[in-house]
Amino acid sequence: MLRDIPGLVWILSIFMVGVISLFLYSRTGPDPLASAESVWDQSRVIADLIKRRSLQLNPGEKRTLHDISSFQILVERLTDVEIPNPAARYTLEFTPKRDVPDYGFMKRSFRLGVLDFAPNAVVGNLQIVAIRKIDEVRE
Amino acid sequence: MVEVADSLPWPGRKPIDRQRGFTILEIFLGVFFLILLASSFSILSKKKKSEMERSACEERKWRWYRVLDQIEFEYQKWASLGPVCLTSGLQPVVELGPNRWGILKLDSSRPIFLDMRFPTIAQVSPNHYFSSGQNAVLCDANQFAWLKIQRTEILDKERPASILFSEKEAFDPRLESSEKTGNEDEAVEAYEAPLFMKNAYLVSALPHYYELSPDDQANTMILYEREGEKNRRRIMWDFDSFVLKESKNESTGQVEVFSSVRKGDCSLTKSFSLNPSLENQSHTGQWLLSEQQLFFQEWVGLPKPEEEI
Repeated sequence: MLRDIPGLVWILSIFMVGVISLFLYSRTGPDPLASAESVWDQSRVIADLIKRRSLQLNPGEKRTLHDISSFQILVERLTDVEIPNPAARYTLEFTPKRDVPDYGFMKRSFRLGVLDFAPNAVVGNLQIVAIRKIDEVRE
Repeated sequence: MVEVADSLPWPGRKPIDRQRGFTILEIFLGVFFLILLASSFSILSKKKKSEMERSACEERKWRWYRVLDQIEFEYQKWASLGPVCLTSGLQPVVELGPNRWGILKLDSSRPIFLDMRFPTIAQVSPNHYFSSGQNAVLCDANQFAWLKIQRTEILDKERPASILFSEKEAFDPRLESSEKTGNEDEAVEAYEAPLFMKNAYLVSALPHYYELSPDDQANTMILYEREGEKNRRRIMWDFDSFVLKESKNESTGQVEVFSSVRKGDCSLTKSFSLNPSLENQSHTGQWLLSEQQLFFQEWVGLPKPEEEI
């Protein structure tokens, strides 16, 4: 009975099987990782945006930056203070995105307290004044 | 007619004689599809291989960042909690040999409230975290000195606490020089002189060591971390070379740190500079970061001006 199937059908069938195998092969392998980045380098990028006034927030305003890093970054400007020095207060929170592996430096998130000692100047004067690693296991 | 039609695979096709083999068209298509599949597999295989290498490299880089980010974390702690120590010339990371580094991890810091009259006692806020047996360093803008905390005394939660240093292990260059000359009067005079003025910073620090060793099984290197005399633990592996250097730019006062890790074509370089500004070094309190807030906490027990005399 198989002898009655024409050669072209055989060839096309084998070709189809080959194409499907190639397709399946192309889908195998580990999931791609997010490109490796230092959370400190990213914090400098954000601090520079604030310093150059490319990222401007009003006191009490929050903004989440999704697309510029392997981390999800939450920038919050708190109310300004006068004591001990006049300064604008910012907190930067870095949370690893889903495709970031557990690289051990932080598990859940990483927060920085940043002061801008020249909040009204064209170019700010930013200093990191507090650091907090939140090492609870990611859910 | 009926018999001929029944023998056809489908209407309109001539009966096939398998003894004749494949037609030219079938051979051509077979070879064509074979080449097509083989070339597709070859391209896909190369692409997968390069993707795997890239993915392995990214995975390695994430692991390497764990160590390099931690090193920067230690520097940033010095810059935010003890910048005066960085301006005094203290190096948190010291190269002790070709494959060995000493890293000082800052634990806590407080300004001293009164001028020091003796090299063995300093007064700080009573809400400090210093404890006996800790290594500490005292810094002002021009100098720093190593000390060992012998004990702490808190008499009153509203008054400065005393931190007493081990006399034998307290480092004082003037006492050392007078001991050499044997001049007791000079020693007493030096002993009574204030060593550090008020607002110098007392910082407790934990010495850690990074040690590089070859991994004979994998023909690569391993970086170990050792805390004091404790057992070492593996913190980085699967690399060929590791570089960690610190330098100070004398003109700008910036501390510059360069680090790099490499394995074959996969390499990671990280450099950063710190500008230890004294602007955020307040002598009246400290900035703290909670889950929601960034707030300034004033030191407790600041002496009144008449108490300072």
